[in-house]
Amino acid sequence: MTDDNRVKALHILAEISGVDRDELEPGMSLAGDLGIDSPRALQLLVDLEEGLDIEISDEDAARMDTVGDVLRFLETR
Amino acid sequence: MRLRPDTRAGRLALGVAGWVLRRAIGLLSRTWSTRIVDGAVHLEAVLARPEPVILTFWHNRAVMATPFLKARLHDAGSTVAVLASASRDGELATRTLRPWGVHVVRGSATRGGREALWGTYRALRKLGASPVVIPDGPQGPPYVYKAGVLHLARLSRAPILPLAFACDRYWSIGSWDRLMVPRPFARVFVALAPLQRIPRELDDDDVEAARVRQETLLNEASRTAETAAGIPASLAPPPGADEGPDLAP
Repeated sequence: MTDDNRVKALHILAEISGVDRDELEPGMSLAGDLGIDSPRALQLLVDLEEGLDIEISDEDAARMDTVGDVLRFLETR
Repeated sequence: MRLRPDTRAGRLALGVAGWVLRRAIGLLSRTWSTRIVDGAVHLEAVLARPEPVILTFWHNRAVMATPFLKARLHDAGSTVAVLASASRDGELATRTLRPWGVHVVRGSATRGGREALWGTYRALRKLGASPVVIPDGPQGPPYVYKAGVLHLARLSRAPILPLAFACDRYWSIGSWDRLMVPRPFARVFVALAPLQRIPRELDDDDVEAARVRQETLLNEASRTAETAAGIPASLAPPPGADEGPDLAP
């Protein structure tokens, strides 16, 4: 994953959750800590695909429970 | 006996049950006469466009909707996708619908709904399939439109096609929403509303306004179909959700 993609992903996460980008920690859960419900999760996945020009499978999406999961997934792209 | 999809015997039994259910719906629906009483032009518009749409109807009309969508959309060349949960009921739905060529998306709609929404979004965007999304599913309350459909529509840019079904004679099955199963030789009436485009950028107030509008549209179309069928409007939550099957009109 390029630094640029990491910055973009954190920016998307911050925008959708309303949490400041500098406060995002890898261990934070998307649903519990960031309040990302299912419609916002859909927005997150769409924004990641479109913003980073990647494809996210059903299985990949199912594994994304924390900020760290999202960043680790992007490292494999 | 409980059918468990995680055992060989359970899978075999679910396969047989799916075949029986598919045959039963197929045979029963061949005795029905189906007429579009309003909005046939909207179905023609869907068939003429190369892009998919989101097909919506109330949960308790699913038995009428299934053969209609198979005949009018799937057999006309459109790919239809249906969400089925990872449960035993979802496995049975999969075994019933997949041999008809319906694309089945597996995922939990109750466990937060993320898997269901993403699977449906991908079927729509990647496969070009028109997904069935039941706005009061999977467990009600009946006739209450949930906002997930709107988010799917705005993010995928696919329009929503509201479909309403009613029939003159049916069994009412004792599920949470009194599933309507047309009796043999029933007359089925269908009403469609125009394609609904949902703007991509919506704040929470906009989403609620759009949700109410879609709920109203679907209820108005249902009223049109029910009037044609000569049955009372059934847009209030049906009583006695836990009662056994009874004989309606």
